[in-house]
Amino acid sequence: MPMAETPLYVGIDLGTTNSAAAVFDGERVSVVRNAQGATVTPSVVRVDKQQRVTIGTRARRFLEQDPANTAAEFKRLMGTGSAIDFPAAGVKRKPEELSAEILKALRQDIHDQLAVQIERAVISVPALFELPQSAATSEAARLAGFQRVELLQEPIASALAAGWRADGDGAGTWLVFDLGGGTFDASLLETRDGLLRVVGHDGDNFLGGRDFDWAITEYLASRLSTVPRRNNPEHVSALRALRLAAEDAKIELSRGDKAQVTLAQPLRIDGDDVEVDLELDRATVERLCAPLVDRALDVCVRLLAANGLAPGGLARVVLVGGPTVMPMVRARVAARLETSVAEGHDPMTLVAQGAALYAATANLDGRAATSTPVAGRQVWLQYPAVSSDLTPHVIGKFVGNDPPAKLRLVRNDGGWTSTDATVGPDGTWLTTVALLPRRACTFEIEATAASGERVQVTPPALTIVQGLTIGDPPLSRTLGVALANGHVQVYLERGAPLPARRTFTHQTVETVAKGADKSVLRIPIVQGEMSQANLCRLVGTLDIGGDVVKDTVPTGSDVEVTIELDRGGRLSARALVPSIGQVFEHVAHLLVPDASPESLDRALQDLRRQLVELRTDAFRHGLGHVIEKLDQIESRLAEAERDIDAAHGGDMDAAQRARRALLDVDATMADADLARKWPELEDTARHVGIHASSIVGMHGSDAERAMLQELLAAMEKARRDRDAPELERQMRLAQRLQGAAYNRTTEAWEWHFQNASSEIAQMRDLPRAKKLVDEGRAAMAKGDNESLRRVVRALWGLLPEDSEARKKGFDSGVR
Amino acid sequence: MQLFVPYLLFKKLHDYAIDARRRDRTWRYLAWSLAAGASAGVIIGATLSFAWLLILVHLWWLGIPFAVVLSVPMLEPILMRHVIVPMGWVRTAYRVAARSDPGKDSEAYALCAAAWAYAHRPRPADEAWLIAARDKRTPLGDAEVVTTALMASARGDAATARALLRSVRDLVEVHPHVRELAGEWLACDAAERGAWADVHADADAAAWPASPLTYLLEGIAARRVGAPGAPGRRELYARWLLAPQRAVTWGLLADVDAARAPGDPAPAATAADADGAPGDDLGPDRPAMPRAIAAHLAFVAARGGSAAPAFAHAVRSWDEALADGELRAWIARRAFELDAPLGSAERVMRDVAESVVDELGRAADAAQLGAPAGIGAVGGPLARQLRHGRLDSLEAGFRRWDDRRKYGDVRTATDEWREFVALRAAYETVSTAGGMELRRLAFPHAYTTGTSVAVWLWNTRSEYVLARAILAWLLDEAMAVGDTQAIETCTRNTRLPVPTRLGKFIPPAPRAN
Amino acid sequence: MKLDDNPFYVLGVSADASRIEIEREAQKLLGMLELGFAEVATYATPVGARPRTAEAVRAAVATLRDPYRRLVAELFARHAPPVRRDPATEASADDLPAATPELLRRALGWRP
Repeated sequence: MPMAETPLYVGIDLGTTNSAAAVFDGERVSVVRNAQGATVTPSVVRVDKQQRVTIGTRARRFLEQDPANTAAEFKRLMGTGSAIDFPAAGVKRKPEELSAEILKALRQDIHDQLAVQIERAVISVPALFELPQSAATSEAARLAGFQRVELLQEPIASALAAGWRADGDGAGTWLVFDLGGGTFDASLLETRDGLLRVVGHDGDNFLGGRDFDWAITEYLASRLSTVPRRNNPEHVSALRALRLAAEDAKIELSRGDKAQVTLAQPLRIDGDDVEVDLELDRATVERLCAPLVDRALDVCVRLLAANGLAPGGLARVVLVGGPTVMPMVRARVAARLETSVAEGHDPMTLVAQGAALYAATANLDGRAATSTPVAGRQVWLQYPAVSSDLTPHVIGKFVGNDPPAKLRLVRNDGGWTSTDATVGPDGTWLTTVALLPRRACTFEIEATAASGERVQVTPPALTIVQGLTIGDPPLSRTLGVALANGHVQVYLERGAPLPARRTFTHQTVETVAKGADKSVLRIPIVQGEMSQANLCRLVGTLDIGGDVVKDTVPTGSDVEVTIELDRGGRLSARALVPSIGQVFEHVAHLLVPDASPESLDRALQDLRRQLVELRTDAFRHGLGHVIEKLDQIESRLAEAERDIDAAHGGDMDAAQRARRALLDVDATMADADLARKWPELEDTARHVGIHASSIVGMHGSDAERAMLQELLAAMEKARRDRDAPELERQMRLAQRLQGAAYNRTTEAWEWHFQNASSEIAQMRDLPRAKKLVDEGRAAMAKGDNESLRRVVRALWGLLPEDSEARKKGFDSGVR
Repeated sequence: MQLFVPYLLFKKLHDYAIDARRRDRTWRYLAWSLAAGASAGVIIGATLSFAWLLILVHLWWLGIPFAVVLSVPMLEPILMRHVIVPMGWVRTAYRVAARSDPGKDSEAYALCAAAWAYAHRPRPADEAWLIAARDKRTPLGDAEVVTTALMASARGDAATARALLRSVRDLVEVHPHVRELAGEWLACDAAERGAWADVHADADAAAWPASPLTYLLEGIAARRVGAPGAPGRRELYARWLLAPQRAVTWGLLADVDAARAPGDPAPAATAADADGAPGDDLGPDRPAMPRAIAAHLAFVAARGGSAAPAFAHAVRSWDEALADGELRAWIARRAFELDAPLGSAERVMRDVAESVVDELGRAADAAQLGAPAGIGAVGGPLARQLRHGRLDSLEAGFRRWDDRRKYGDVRTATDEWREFVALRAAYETVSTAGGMELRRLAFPHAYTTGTSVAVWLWNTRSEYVLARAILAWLLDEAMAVGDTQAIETCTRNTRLPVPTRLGKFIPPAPRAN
Repeated sequence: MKLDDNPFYVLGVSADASRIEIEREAQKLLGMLELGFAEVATYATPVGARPRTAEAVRAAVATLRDPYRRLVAELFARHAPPVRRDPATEASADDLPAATPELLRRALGWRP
């Protein structure tokens, strides 16, 4: 509930390479400048020998001189649990602690500029951030001293900022093309009736300006006399120096046509001093970066197609992020998407501005709530701080008994007064107000008692801004629970408004035995859009352990699981087991899994091996569509291999990217595998059918023959429906039937006898076993099938517990 | 010493009468009860008089123990029900019951009596004691299962208690006292739920030795369901007089004739509900979509026997609705008006089918209904989902059980039994819902795992009673699905004598097949 | 086909409501819920009244903003039977009214 005093809304863009903050006072959005007078602060943190922390531009200078103690791009490691080493100070810092340093500095900048201590703010996060990453961002804000933050996806922030500025005809579909330092997000938005809505988004968590720099760096490196390699840890420092130079050259080439890449000191590569003095022209840089831009544009086209739009169907494109300053990027985007690029936005601070605007929508005043003394009657108010509707409702309730009888709202420009609203006996009332377009309007509350006497009210007035609004921030990735059969039960779908909560009832498939600490029922919470649980990201687990349950929870018991997510990316879950009346709430939050180069190597090899198998098979069966899919997989694998190579050189970021790529490949492979397996299964089924028919036909009873006919019909139906699990089940049944019939024959028992007697060495009672074998031989000679069966069973009885025959449970005679 | 001869005689008569009563459900029940009551009266009267004499001659130190030792076994039922259990004196219940001479293995009844007291007034300290006392007794028998069930009931978990008590019938170790308690609990529970048919079915099958209270409830049940040979009014009053808690049971007796016609109260409620859900009587000329929604609502509201036809009707209506050309046209037009993305109309049909399948699937699972015969957008996928979903989880459940055995994750015998009861319940759900066909598909898995676990329980863990119950169930199932090989194996296995605390259980001669 | 959380019922608006009407209604409901207005505590559906929460209102308005999801919601809301305000009947799924005195098991010593 905003106070009469003008609120101040704060938005922060915590970027991979640069961060910025903006404030909105209800009328204007302004970008906060830092101590150096710049609107953006590099997201770089340095910790020196004395453990002094430097951030921003001053820290960035040390990236080249003292890279070991200067960290950049730590945002990409948020939520991974890996700590960054600062050897000079001998300390390790988690990514969220480093982010907290940046946030602290921004908070200080706001204080310096506006003399306000900020407690609450909106922080932007990439659209595809997963829960561990969001939670780490909230944690960073907490460490920086914020009391409360809400998170907002960056593209929504950019669109809100761009839409706020747009004049009148902002209506239509927009694309926000956000190419950041490390991530690329494409978001499709729609404005209609002053309301902004996210239609869809897509992106590449591992495509950004950084990749442009690497492309240029690699090109530069290839032209040196000794070529440094990314997979060699000893070349890391040389490459870093080269990369910073490349970055500068790239910026220079946004304006000029040629740039000189010169390093003050020669690079040391494999013990040689290598001088760097190269010329770089715009055309070369554009040629190097074009494939990367195209990759981003592919994502955009995919997004448009997914939403039934063709290029050219967009009202406009908003460019966000440092790399979009390059003229080549603007030109390529405009050409491929056949639309104009919106002008007049600062791509570097647009996100922060949008976040500040959103803070107003969310009613998140940056200042801590101060308690103003109550004069007269206190009233609780409910109204939108920002409204796209020109006549929104204002709802109120007077505190205490005997409320005033009537009340009206007067706009302070004197141009409008509401009709008299009647106050109910419980103090509640409801009215509408008229706003002026794109203005902040303040309304005085005039209450009158039944006697007609004017009553003083606290707060005496309220302010509503008319402008573009957005609904609740949407969930960026689907959240659900992984089930025992490998599927996912979706709880909160992507796009669901936050905060959100949902409950489903599941059944246990495992018994949790009281007191058995090994016995744990796990409820895995996953995030991702795939229906196969293993292809989604595990973000937390809720355990029901045998050590805490009040009583054994048998298989098939109901469990009511509730998942709740707030706007700060904090997940909570609760499982209620009604049969024992116990609630389990402790969620073990997981981090983004580690991606060690070795594990990636193994995964890659594994996938390669599978790929070869699939390919051979696909060729054999002549499955063209499968082969096509496999070709795509092949190229993705090659990409992943390059990243793994870089990961061996210590590039943690590439490692994460490779891990992601391998997961994707796995998903595609599973598809292809299914397509391949079918003919094989069909083939087996045919053989099983033929065999079972002949054996059951010869030795089976009438009932068995009838049953087999039913089975064969069911198998045929499953084959027609291409229902693999059904076919497998029916096949198993046919085999059982065949086994039963076969066991009626003499030869079957002769065969069982031979098998059992060959295992005589393992039997428990050797003399008896020998005697039995002799008996069996005699029975066989006489053709006495009955005795032979008895002997075989007795022999089975002597086999040790774990013998293969027992394991099958085929004939487990109880002694 | 001669003084004790009449005592022993009357005691013998009393025990004999009680024992005979347990096996009876005819007019003799009352006769045996009277005999038992009379002999108990004589014993108590004589004992107390003699003790009084002793006290009069200042031998009170002899008289009081004498009175206690001789009269407690006779007074135990009254003491237990009216004093010890209501007070929740778990350990006292145990001691008194153990001394009341309930026959061989008196500990079994003592344990159940303690659990009974606990069920009335659960205290955490008693829980630990009770569990320890239960787990000390191996191998598993009926008393341990009853104890576990009563503890679940103490927690308010009637469903678990019911399932466990029902499972006691499959155990071949039979303590009559214990069974009597189990039967009484089940009868009270069913009466409370209004499931008189269950009470009557149990009485008909003589599933449990009847306590006077059970006997009374069975009489009421017979009257309520209108069974032939239901007790007359006078006999009912006799049963009521015999049973404890007459003030409470009087209410049951009073409206026994005001009871509804035979059958569950359910059908009446369903009819009302179906009427309440509008549109059930819609003719085929109504548009397809409203018909589908109405049918869906009618199914969700349906109970008992009408659920299956309502389910089939809902599935059919949905299949028709989603294939309806008019509806498609409406959606396409509305999609255009709303400016929905291209291809929305197709997507709507897909998404609606998916969500309907999901919802109907859940409801059908809960109501244990079989897969419909539909082939449309809803019927086909729904049939597939119900079938595979159930079989998958059943197979996974059995597999986990077997895996646990393989990897040596040993649980208490009670927990193994509960696992079996739960898996069997899941299996029965599958076969109720899917009929013989699905039952046949489910059997091989249950058989393979069940046999190997049972063998392990018998050989390695000496849980004979438990293993025997599993094997007997497998045999029944094998016969039902006609798996000859399994029938052979199980028959052989179930013919073994089973050692119990009450001596060896010798299986009856094999059934003629 | 969860009829009981159909956004049109949650917001209490007709299936013809315009975007602005929906937004305004949602804003009003959220405010009223926050201040505890008794008249908005439940909403009517074809299967009886259901409790209304702020989360449900937010979710409903988000659904109706999306033309596709609104189409799905309309498909049901337009073809469903009329709404009713009587208390929900669904909750008592397996607890049929007992024909016997309540708490028989307790009276008979079988329940705490």
